[in-house]
Amino acid sequence: MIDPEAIEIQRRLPAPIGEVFRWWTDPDLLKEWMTPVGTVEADVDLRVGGRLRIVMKGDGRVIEHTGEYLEIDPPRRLVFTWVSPYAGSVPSVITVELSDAGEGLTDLRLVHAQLPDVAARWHRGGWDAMLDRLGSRLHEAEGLPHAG
Amino acid sequence: MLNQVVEYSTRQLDAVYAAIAHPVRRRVLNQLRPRGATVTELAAAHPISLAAVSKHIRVLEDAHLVRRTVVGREHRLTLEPAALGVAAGWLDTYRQFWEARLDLLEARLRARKRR
Repeated sequence: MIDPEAIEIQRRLPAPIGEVFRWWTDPDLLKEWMTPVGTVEADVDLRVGGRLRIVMKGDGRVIEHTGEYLEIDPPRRLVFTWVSPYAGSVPSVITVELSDAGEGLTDLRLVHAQLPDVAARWHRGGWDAMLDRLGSRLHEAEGLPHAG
Repeated sequence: MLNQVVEYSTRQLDAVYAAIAHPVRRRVLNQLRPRGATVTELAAAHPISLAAVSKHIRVLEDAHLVRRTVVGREHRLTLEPAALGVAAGWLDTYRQFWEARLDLLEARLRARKRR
């Protein structure tokens, strides 16, 4: 079980484990896929305590993500912190686990955890109750049945 | 297409999080919860100037968290629930972000193999 404030995604990827690990750690390869829009800059200091910096640019916006490597165990495991403008200024933690699925395929499991900083702050301010209420109001407005 | 969806919701989230990052603005939202309030009523409840409260209200309006109705001289503010609904789905936004990233990674890996 992972905590409810984390997301977990699993994927089978069409490349051997070592290559998938490189696509997660080589800045030139990260640039190829690590942005929703436009271009990306990537700086990687691949050692425990080393920094990573991924700048997504496009659509008139520049979004800087930064982090620090916590665990590096090639080609199986990579753990790094992730500071994103969308998760508040406190780092969340991303764990990438790879396993050999045979026939040149790799199973990837990504866990993005400790996202709750925003949620935790909301809880303290009674925001969860407020959101529940607003949620049911939205359901009413849409003529949908209540969730609970 | 998916990228557009992610981009759209991150834009909304941006504004919502920036808006609720400030304690005064959270307090204003709580004050507005039962039935809204006028700008004057809100300002009276805060130990800061009317101008300062107005500035915070504008941030909330820009994030579409608060709606302003002008009746005569009175500016009445009410909560806009839709924007908070967007924020409630923020974990889903992360999931969408990573699903989209992994879609692209998968596509790049496939393209590389064909070369």
